[in-house]
Amino acid sequence: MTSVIEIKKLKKSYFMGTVETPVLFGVDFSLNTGEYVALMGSSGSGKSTLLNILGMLDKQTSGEFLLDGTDTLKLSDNEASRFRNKKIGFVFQSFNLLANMSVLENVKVPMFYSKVPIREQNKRALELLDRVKMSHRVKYSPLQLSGGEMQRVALARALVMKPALILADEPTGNLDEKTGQDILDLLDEIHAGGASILMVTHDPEMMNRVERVIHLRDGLIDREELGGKASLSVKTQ
Amino acid sequence: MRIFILAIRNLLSHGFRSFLTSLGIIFGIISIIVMMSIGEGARIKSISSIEAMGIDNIILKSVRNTASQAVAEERGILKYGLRETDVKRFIEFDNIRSVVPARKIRKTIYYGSKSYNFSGLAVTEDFSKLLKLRVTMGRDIANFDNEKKKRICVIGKKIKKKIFQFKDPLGLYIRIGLIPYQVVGIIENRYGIKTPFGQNPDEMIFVPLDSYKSDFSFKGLDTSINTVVDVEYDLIYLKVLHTKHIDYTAKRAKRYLEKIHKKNFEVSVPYLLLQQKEETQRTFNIVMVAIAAISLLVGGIGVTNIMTANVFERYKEIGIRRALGAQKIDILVQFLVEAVTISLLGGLFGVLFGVGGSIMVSKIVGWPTAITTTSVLGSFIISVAIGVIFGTYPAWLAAKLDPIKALRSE
Repeated sequence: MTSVIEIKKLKKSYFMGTVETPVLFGVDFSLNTGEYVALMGSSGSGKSTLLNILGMLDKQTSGEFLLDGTDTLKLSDNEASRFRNKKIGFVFQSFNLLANMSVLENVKVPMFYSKVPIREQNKRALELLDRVKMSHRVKYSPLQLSGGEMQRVALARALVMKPALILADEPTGNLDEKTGQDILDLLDEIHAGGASILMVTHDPEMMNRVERVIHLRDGLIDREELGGKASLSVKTQ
Repeated sequence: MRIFILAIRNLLSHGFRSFLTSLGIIFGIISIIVMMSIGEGARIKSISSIEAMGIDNIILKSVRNTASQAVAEERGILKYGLRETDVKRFIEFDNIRSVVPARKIRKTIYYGSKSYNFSGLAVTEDFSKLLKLRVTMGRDIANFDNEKKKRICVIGKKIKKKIFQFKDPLGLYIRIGLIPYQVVGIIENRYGIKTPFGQNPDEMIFVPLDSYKSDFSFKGLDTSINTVVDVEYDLIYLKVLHTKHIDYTAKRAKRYLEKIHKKNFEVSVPYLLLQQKEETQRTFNIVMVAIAAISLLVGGIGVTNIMTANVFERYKEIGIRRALGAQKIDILVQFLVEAVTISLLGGLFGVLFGVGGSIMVSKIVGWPTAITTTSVLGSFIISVAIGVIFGTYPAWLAAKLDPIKALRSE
């Protein structure tokens, strides 16, 4: 079984001059291809720091992080950007759509940076917008959309490069109960389609939707437990 | 291409601010275009008027001065100026194609019972070529007129109108002093060229030099000073073979005349005047370009200022783009293209208003202006350069932003 994420003895410290502030103390975990994992932890547990490293926006101080088999520490800034573009799909709590572009254009942004031909861009973007049931809002500005609709567009954007990993940072945090459930249903569908997903969440109910839950506490993995879908995926393997 | 469209859209989303930013560039480019067109217009005008005097001519003029005044007081007759001996001497000079002398007509002109105080010159055949005159009726003064000392004259078109109104003047006689001269031709001052004495040939009478010399002595009444003067030639044109050596020939002529005539003459060399004029023009241009450069510098600083503000405002966007895979260079190019677009649009409007402005200057103020392709092309190049130079710093600021901090900002 191949791993999308493989981290070993991952440590991260921030430096203020000579003062070292350690945040992650040696984290080990892996996420297999096609797996759906939740990362939980109170604030200050190092969750965001870990997510930044996993998203290749930051680098560890020591330890190893293999993304889809590649040692990320050795990558230059440009290579890391290319990796983010091709391997990772981000879904943010605050959606992070570009306000002065249309829904369609927002979905096309990642393809712009990987020089996908325009015709192909439009085809793929429209396909995905259809999949997240947003084809009726293609020309809209994100400012005209509801929170749930914005998150659907963001999901389409995250999928458009067919990434190895989807990093979702509290994707329902800014949504009401009902809309949040819709988004989670959509994520289930995406997972069922074969995507590997790591989701950061506070919501204990997420336990039932994922295969595995990792609890982070004070910069270390506190415990791991199987989620509600674990049996299901074990059966399929 | 798409990055330009993106840039224009981003700029339009802050339309008024972008406009204010490009205003500095607009005014800078307007001043370049207008000033250069005024400079070029002035250059063309002064050069063509100098060229009209003949680029291969040395013009020698007889002038009265205090020295000749003293002679006059002694004898009652003011004797000064260039003589036939000078002409003979000049012919022997190197680098001389021809020597063309002329004398002012200092006699009253009569037609019928009326008298006129027209100015006139007694000249040879070559003279009207020097002034680039055009014969509109009849013929010009020819060599045989001088050889046979014919009493004929050629008159300017304004004189024709004044004396003869709508009558055909050809074959009619006017009197110079008491001697009748037959009108054989009408000339027109095609290029607005004036004689070295500042007269307009349209308002002058021309007679063959040799006829005039045999009819009248050198002495004549100069009405402006009410004194009888004794002048053989008021004017000698030296036409040179090679303008390259015109300076040398002019100096030699001057040295010679200083020996013979003291200070009773003036030398002017259109070719050298032209060179001086071009030199002053260059200085003028440099000053103007410096002024325009200052306003462009201010405009450029405006671009840096606004683009920096843009970057600070769009931290979040930069963070999102970085997360989605934009490399530093992509962000740099995005902001740089925006800066170049602002200044290029500024340049475009600057050129448009500048061309309009210089047309208005020539219409309203009446100065001659000329738009050159150099100034238009130069303006576009300059505005792109300003965008690049003054947009690089903010673009670099944007590119080096930490994507995590940028994403976290609101």
